[in-house]
Amino acid sequence: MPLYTTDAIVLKSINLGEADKIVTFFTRRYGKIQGVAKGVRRTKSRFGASLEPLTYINLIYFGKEHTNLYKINTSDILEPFNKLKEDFDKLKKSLFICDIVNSTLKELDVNLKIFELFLNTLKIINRAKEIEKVDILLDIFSLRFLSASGFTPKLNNCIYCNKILSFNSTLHTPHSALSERLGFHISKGGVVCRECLNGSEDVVRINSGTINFMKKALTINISNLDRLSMPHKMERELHKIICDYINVHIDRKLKSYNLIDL
Amino acid sequence: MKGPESLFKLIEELRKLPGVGRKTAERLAFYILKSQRHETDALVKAISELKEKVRLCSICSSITETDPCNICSDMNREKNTLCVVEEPHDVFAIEKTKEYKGSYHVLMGVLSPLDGIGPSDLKIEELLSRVRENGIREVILATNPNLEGEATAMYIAKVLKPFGMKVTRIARGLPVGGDLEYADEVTLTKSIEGRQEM
Repeated sequence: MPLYTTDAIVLKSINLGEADKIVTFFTRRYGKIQGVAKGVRRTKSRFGASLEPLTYINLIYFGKEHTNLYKINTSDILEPFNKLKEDFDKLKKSLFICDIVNSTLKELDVNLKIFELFLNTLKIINRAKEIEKVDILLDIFSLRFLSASGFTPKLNNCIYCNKILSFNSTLHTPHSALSERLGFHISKGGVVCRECLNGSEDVVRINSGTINFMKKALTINISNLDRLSMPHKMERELHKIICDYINVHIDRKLKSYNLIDL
Repeated sequence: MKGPESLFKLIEELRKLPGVGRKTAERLAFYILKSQRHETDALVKAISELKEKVRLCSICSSITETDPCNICSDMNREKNTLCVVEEPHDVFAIEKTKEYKGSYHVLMGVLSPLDGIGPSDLKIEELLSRVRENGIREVILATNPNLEGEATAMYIAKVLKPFGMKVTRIARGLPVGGDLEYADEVTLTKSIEGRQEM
């Protein structure tokens, strides 16, 4: 029976029997896996704390290849993300991104881009001083997540006429000055130019500044995601579009979605 | 499999119990079969009475045979201190200590965003009503020290803030009889944060 060693982020844990747990991990080397951890709910368990959701760990487990349920041998904490877990606002937002990862990834589907994105986003939320930064980070995470899953929105050309779209506005232009109103086709995942807007269904209005922001969010180094900022009105517009876009592609309502505004 | 149908029926029912697999269920069923008639009658009666008599206390939501429960109706207990726990069995765990003399409030679960369990699924509104009407001076948050328990404690602390009473969280740290060497860093960090002057 092979022994697997990898670093991983704990996604979910559910109680099993008297003192055991079934834990879901997103591992760097083997993708999403589930394993049984025996006796970890006992007070004297050596590694119970390392199996709490949103903990970055070094994991050792074993089991037959491609089994549904592995056996957890041991785990050591690499980063407990304590600050994230001690702040209710940070915690519920982190659980939201955890829900996105958990409900969309298939078992044993290795995706290094998503792993790095998830880990870096948790690091940024953990160290964030202002909660407003975390709000925008959720949208950037969702956008990058969809992109890493193969749903990169088309932002350079109109999805109907293929006209190249170039904008002069910068991210920090006041909202009123952003006169160029375009459209974003939610299910097709792309920009619609002004000429093609009329009569198009499933299209929401979007500012050119928001499109510019999305472009930057898709290309910026993931360790610098918290350096991006935008005017509040544009933030709301982006949030609405990202929520619709993610709902269309995930194809189910995330359970944690309703609790994000608590 | 051939054999008495009533025996297989009992095995199937026992298998539904937590932690009981086929082998254990078979062992239990054969033990019951071999037992004296009065012993099996007592077991049947105990299960039946449990379902008939035990219900939730209308004040604290703990399990009880009388409404309000013994703790809520005990005049010697402090009525202005509330200990908030997740499940009725947590009340029994704390009662075993014989240290706590206040009242309880059972939430009947915890917030679990990943399972879609929100505040409306718990007895949080009832807690707020008790706080509003009974002049509570201290609320002790005794949810489990795991992610869901911490999230629930933080949420309750947030909604209780406008009332201005003392809200405390049970201490976290090393278990008595444990070994410092084998403690994980999260537990050790919590125990250092919660250290007390001697």
